[in-house]
Amino acid sequence: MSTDFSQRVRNHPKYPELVNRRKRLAWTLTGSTLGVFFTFVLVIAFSPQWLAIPISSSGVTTVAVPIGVAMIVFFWLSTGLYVRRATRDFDGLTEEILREAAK
Amino acid sequence: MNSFILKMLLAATAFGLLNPALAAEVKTQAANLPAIMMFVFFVLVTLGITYWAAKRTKTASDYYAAGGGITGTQNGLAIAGDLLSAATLLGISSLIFAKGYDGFLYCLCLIVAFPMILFIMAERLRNLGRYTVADVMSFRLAQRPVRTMTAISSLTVVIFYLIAQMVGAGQVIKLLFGIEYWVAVVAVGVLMVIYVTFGGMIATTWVQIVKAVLLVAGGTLVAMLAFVKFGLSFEALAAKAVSVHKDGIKILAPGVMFADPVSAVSLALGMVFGTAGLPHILMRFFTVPNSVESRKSVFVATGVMGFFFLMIGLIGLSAVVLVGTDPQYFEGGTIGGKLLGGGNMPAMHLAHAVGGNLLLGFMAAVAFATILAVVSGLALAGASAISHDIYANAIKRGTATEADEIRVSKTASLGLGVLAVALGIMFEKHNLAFLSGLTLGIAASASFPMLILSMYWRGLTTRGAVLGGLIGLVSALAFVIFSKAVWVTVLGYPKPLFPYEQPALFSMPLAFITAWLVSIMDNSPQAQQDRATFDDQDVMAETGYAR
Repeated sequence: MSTDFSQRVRNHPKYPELVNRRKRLAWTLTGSTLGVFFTFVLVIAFSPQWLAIPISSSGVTTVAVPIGVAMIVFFWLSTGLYVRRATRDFDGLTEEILREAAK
Repeated sequence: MNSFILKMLLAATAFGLLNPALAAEVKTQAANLPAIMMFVFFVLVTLGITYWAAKRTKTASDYYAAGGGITGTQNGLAIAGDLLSAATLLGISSLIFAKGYDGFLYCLCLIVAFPMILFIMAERLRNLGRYTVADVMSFRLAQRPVRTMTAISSLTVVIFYLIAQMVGAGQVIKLLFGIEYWVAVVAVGVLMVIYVTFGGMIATTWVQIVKAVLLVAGGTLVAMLAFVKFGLSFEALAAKAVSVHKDGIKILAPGVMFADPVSAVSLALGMVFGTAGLPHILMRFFTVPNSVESRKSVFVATGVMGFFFLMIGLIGLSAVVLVGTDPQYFEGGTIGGKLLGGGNMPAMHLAHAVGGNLLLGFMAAVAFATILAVVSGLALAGASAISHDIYANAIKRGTATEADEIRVSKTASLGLGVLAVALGIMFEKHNLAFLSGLTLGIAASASFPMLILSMYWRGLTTRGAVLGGLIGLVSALAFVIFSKAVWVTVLGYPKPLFPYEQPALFSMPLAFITAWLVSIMDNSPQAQQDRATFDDQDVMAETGYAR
């Protein structure tokens, strides 16, 4: 836990790459999931009639139903995407940085 | 350790408390016999788990964090279990039964918190903390003030949440099993204390996992048995529901519940960021061995919850048709009148409608199990805040031995159990609708903002974190007390002082602004040290190198 070790990690040429790539992925995904959700909340707050439109002229199911289901699926897939990308991109890089900083 | 006492206690609880209930029940309502048998079976299994866990709980790490030995998948199930309380199963399905799509919106608010938790919190929590959220907050900030503030907000959330669960538990169990309210509350309290004191986090996690599996399986079974009656066609189900519901086509779109835009946004904010600040959910990230597993656990949890929420949607809508048109589920047989057993019962009646007494019994036992598992997680989160943050670090300044710390934690969970039972009995007749808004409001305004700032903003100082957290806590409390739900409904004043029901839209920005303002004006030596150590914290957060 020494500051010295932490300094060596920070000075590793690949450390900024790790930090920036994770930052980009994490905040892009946070922005898109929360963005989708709060857009939906604002539509409910100010213009709920948009969600009451039926999908087809013969049925009763409204667009709100598939939108709700699609959001749940989207949230789940976005967690899957993060796990996949993080495992592929970050774990090896982290290990490499730590190994070289420990020398 | 103490295994003899444990066995005696297990026997006493299993037979002493439940048998009289069983005997009384058989006479009054034969329908509940399967429920009681399945419930007794669940209790025996969980007590077995507790006995097994007690033998494996040796160190503080075992007690608080299951020794870091929970896998990502197991932890995902446990997290989903923590969020899927009886309120979710019974409350949300009954909201859908009564209001249609509006009820489903609660599911969306709860689930969207988890992607965010994964992207910006899960790995960092694992890398920076050991047992409690306050570990993360005090990684670079001064131990005593920050831990005390964090522990106070965690305890406030835990105690309010416990009261809500206890009162709900007493009412639901009274209905489903026909036993006295106070007996139900005491039984929940006793079992909760046994799980937590003897089995620590290992028992609490496995009880939660077993319950999550039972709940998802039971919910899916009820939903599918009902859905088959409509030929597995959503359009057929929806058309029938629209034709029999008094609100007709309106139930398929968001409607009256969110008519006021400010309340809608405030409720959504509180639910999303409050969920991401709940201490009993965040503590689960300390039970996995590394950040790789902590990522995986959110993926599993989100999948399980998402699937279950779709089932809840089907259950609520099917109940509109299968329960809402059947006189046997209404008092006096009047369709559209009061539901037998009260407004929370549509999911239970639906279980009876599609699977008879056996399925009703199973779902009743699952509801009881759900309550037990959730209160245990809460009690452990509260006890850890008292023993690890307040006792071991704020009072003893890190000099307490592990044995002392665990002893304090067990005493604390006993104390929380007694408090929860007492408050549960005291508030039996009160309208506690404001409690969920309050707990989530506090978590969103006191816990979440300070946690995010401490992890991401170099400028946050000890003073800023403590004052920001306190302002978040006090303002959320004050807004709820001055709102209609407490000021008018509970305290009986004619007009609310705060016009909205939900505090988060106002208390969250207040907390953020206070923390920011106090931090930028803080030039104390402590503040300089707080900022200087951010780089070290960041390396730890990014790489988790000490693990």
